[in-house]
Amino acid sequence: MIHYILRKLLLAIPVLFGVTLIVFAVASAMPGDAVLAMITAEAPSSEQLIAMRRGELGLDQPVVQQYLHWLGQLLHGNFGRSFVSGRPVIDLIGERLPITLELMGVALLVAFLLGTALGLASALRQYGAADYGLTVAGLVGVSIPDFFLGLLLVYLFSLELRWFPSAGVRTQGGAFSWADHLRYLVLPAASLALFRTAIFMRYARAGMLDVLNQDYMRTARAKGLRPRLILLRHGLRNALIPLTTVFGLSLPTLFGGSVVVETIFQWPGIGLLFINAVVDRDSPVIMGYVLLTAVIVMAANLLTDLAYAVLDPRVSYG
Amino acid sequence: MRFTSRFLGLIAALSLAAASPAFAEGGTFRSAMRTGCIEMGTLHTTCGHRLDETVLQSLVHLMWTGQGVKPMLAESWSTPDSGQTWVFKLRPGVKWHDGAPFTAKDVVFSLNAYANPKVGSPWASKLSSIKGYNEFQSGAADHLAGVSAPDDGTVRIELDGPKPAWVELQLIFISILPEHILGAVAPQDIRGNRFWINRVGTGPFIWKAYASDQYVEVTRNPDYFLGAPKLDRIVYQIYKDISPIVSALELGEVDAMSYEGGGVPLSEIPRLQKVPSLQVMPNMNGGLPTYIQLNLADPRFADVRVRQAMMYAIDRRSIIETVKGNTGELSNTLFPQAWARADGLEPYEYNPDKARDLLKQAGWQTGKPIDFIYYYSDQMNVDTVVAIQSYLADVGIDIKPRLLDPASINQVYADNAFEMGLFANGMGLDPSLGALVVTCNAKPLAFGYCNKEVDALFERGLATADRAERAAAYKQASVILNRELPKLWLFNEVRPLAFNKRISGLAEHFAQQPLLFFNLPVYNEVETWDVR
Repeated sequence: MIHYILRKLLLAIPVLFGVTLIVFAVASAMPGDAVLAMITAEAPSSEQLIAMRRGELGLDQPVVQQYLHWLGQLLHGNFGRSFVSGRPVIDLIGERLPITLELMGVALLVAFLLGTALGLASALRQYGAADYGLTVAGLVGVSIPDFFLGLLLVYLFSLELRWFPSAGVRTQGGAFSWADHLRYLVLPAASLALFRTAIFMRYARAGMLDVLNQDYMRTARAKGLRPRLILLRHGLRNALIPLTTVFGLSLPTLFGGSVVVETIFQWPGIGLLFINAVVDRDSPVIMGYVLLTAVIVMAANLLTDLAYAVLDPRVSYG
Repeated sequence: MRFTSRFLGLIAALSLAAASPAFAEGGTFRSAMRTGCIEMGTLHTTCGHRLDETVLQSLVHLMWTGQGVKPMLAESWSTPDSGQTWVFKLRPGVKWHDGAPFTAKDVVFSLNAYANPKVGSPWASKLSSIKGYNEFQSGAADHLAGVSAPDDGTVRIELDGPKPAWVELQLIFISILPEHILGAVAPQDIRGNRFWINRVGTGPFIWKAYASDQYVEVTRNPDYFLGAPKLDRIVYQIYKDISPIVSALELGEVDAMSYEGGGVPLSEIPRLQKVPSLQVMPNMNGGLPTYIQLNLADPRFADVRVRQAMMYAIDRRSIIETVKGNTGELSNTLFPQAWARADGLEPYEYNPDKARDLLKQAGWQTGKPIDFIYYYSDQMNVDTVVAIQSYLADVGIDIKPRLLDPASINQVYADNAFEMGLFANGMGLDPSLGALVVTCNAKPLAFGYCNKEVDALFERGLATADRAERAAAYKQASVILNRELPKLWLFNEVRPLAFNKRISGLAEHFAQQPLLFFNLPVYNEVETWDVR
């Protein structure tokens, strides 16, 4: 097991290197750069000024040199400073990450718990009315994009019913209050949760059905164990294995955030930071975000693999 | 499932428990602001200047009526030589929000900061008339020779020539910064300095808190020199898109919207008009001439007959009636100010036959499609571009529209690859701002247009402060621009706005504004506003 983990960690290094190289190349290929992004008709900048700013930011150097400069900084633990605000990238990400984690975490948790529960219910009442109902609901949930759902929820629950506010994380200005904050969390979390609930539900249902028909389940029933014990100890634990894959694959989005939902609800998370950085061509912030996401993806994959080893005794890593 | 129903019950309980909206508090004015305007600071950003009305201030502010200026940090000023030298007497007894006294040192520092090439402010050009500006910019000098402080309460500014309207047109863009805080910062570090997210000013409101991409909170300054404000605080709520702003207005989550970056979309106006607490202004003059830009260096567009043909080919009246819902007005020249336009301009009434005729005379060949770029992505703009495309196609001109963001557009300019595009220019402040797009030195936005007569007329317009004399110069320029068509004049656009009636003073002042003034602070008596 230790060898396995070490191997994975060593492999991560060239992968991260490759990812950052590719993204840097693509980002540099976008038309315009950070300096050009700031020019407007009302305050046009002289060529001199543009050249000076480019020089300050290192944008007049060849792309390869810029990449090596960024990499060199990184190896010294310095993530660079935003081209737009001059603030350290690590500060910007550190400020915004918790709020994204909160939103995505709540959505993911709700989706996992609700999805698993509904999937189990569906499997246990296979071919019944509930099962068909949930299957249709699942299809609908998977088909609706989260931004469309977001706008729909704002229209229904915010503008029409006035139950929830339309955007933001809390009533701005003044002291923080959890009750106030939770009201703002409901709609964006719901927009994100629906799709994921439907996914978890389908996997839970499939996994459970698979398990229910196994011989050992029949043996357990024959032994006379209580139904609930059979379900939870013997059934659910095995049904969780495919769910672990899906959950593990969803973990990166926990940190990456949802750009669209954060824009609709003006949720000041890392997704919003990223989209603003792309429009502003703010390379250090873009690279910081990409690096973070790449690390999370790899960590999530590793954790998922390890979780298998825990859940399924048949699995072992050499 | 028991768990499911318990969970749903919890949600319902939470929402009902917190059901009372916390939006309607006394004494707080909430204003929407667009993203990306705070951290870059006044020196470097082209938006966010509402904070320069409440926290930071200038020597003088433009009046909301557009007529004249209000003395702010300058109590009075005079010019002994018809506009070449200006002597400002500063308001005595003014303190910065941290208690330090405001003196002439702050003014001298601020003007030098704006003009300093190492600071790199795009607003530096507003000070280009000051003596010593060119030397400072080129590095030959390390400060502005024309700015001096004979004593703590007086500032003397020498220009390179008589510019009677300099105060009303250029000085209003400059905010005064605290020398005791920023003076110690190296010029190239001013841009990224923490000062911008924790500003100290002299204005009616004091900076209290800032949360990135969320809000800026400012509270009442009881020692404000024009009298303590009636409002307790202002919260500038930050939004990335227009759509959440419109929803927030409807719900009363914000009281006002920022007009820079877009107004209420046409399709949302009827919905907002149904809200009793909102005052909607669907016809607020944006001071936004909208026109088609052409690269005149491109041989296809060099012949004026081709440009005339394009004007005759587009049915602008029809676009206003359909796509624009009968808002805005037809425009046949550059200036949105009626006083700067001559009568009897060529109207270029819709006439596709005449257009085809002119094209034939000019020997127009329908070759590869013209690259047509535009910036505003709202539905009305997209529809306008589609309409233009179809009208032009009707007479044999083929355009291929592309929606680009600012960085990409500037790259097209930098690569000299610009062909044709739709643009709007916020020049409600004054016709002189038109010099940015039609004078010989205006690069790149003049796109090859150079008429010395027009240049001279723009100079004449700034050589006097007398409205009648200025009007004469601009009217002449308007005739030339109408005839020579360096741009294809389309419309003067409106920017619909909406305000919540609960703030007294807000809608009233905007109703008195003749048009919108972009990217600079405007004095609109915010210290007198209150919650009804």
